Amino acid sequence: MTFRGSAAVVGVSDQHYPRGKGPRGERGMLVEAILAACQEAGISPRDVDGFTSYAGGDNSGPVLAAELDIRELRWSTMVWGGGGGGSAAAIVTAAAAIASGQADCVVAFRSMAQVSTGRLGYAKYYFDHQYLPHGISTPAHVCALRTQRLLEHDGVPRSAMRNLVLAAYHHAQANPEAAAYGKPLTAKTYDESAYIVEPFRLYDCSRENDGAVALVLVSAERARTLDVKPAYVLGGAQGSVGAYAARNENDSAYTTAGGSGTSDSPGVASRVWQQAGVKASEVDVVQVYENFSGPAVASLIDHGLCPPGPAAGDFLTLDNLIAPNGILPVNTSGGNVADSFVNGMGLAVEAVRQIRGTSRNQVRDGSGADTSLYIGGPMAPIHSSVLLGSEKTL
Amino acid sequence: MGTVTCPECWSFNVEWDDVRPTGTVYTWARSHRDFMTELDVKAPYVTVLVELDDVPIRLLGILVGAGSVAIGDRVTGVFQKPDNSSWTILRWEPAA
Repeated sequence: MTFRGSAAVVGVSDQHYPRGKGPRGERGMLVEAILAACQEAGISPRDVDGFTSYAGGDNSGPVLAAELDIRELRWSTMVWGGGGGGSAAAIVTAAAAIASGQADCVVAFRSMAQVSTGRLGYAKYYFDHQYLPHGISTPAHVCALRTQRLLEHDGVPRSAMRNLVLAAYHHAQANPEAAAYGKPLTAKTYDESAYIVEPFRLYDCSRENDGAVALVLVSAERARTLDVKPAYVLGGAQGSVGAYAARNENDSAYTTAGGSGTSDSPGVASRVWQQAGVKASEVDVVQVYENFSGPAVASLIDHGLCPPGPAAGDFLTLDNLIAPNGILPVNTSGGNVADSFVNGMGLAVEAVRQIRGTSRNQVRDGSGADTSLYIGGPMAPIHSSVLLGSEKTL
Repeated sequence: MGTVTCPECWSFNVEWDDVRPTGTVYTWARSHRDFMTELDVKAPYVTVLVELDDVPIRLLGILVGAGSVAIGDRVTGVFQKPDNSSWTILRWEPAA
């Protein structure tokens, strides 16, 4: 049995709205997204036998099994810890269930509505007494601490962060569903925007949306019988090395996104490349979770997609980051900063679109991408990423 | 998030040790919004992560009495008790 190429994403749905404006609560939007993703795949929702998600929430496998009246629930898995850091892991867990024969048709999902769970601006539920007395109460704060050292100590220039944001806004101008569609961003506007938590300015920060995102996975054999172009899971990994970010700011790989390794532990990024048999330099297109711009830059460094330190600035130019001709096109729908944020799962859907050839900023127009990477939330206690591939890569 | 054992030897017999309240700024972040209405310090305020001199441990705290901050700055810990707090809180100020 091999994991590589055993399962594929065959149906996707990404439904998002301005925060607080979702037409239903989390469960209603989620059921709607699952039905839409199943319809796109040409699969009856009753055939679904597994659910995976991350970052918590009340919509468990048994609850969804009842909502959809599926025949049998065989796989119900929440990725533990780390918020959006587990997003790619939810997809990988779904693929692992299928590859090992535990389930046949698994939906990886996330749903968020302000009316159900409030906003992330004050994540009191997550930050404990080690953080709150020191004015550290949001994801922006903990990511700012790591990013400041990435800039000031490691020497990654601020332009790397800015160009990642400008690339996302550039891509959003071709995506009518993106929040920033029709609202281009200039370097000057970025530079003059207010600080939220220094070193992050307003435009370095992710949006927050109401919405639901669902991805339907089945075995490679079944995928080939469906009337869609499968996005095969070539490799994927979750985890952290050295208790990253779970030791109250005392971990050693402090300025990484949490995906790097050590001499005796390969880390998330290396495990993905090794499983897939693909080199970082060979990947066609990347969707990288930007809770904030700086941590996303760290993710690219961890994955070997960009050099560390000052050289990151030479590589992360706007030209290099935009589709279709950049060396490393990133966040081609606009990403969390310029398209929408449903805990980052919309980026995974865009990674699938790139394989299908249906992105608004398509690389390899005509054929679609052969390899498409989705990197989950950075600088969180758990990290994950997943590499998707076309039939040609099998 | 606190641990109940020593993660190096897994002993449950952990105890308090005295260390000097001196160290070096490992990193920092400046909050420009009042995210927490209950905090007695108002934005903009700087939180520093300080590497202690005596043990290889880093501790957070709000920086008080400083105009600017940079990684590598020497700082000294001070204990403050805000009016609305029942606890004494560790904060940091520039080393004399």
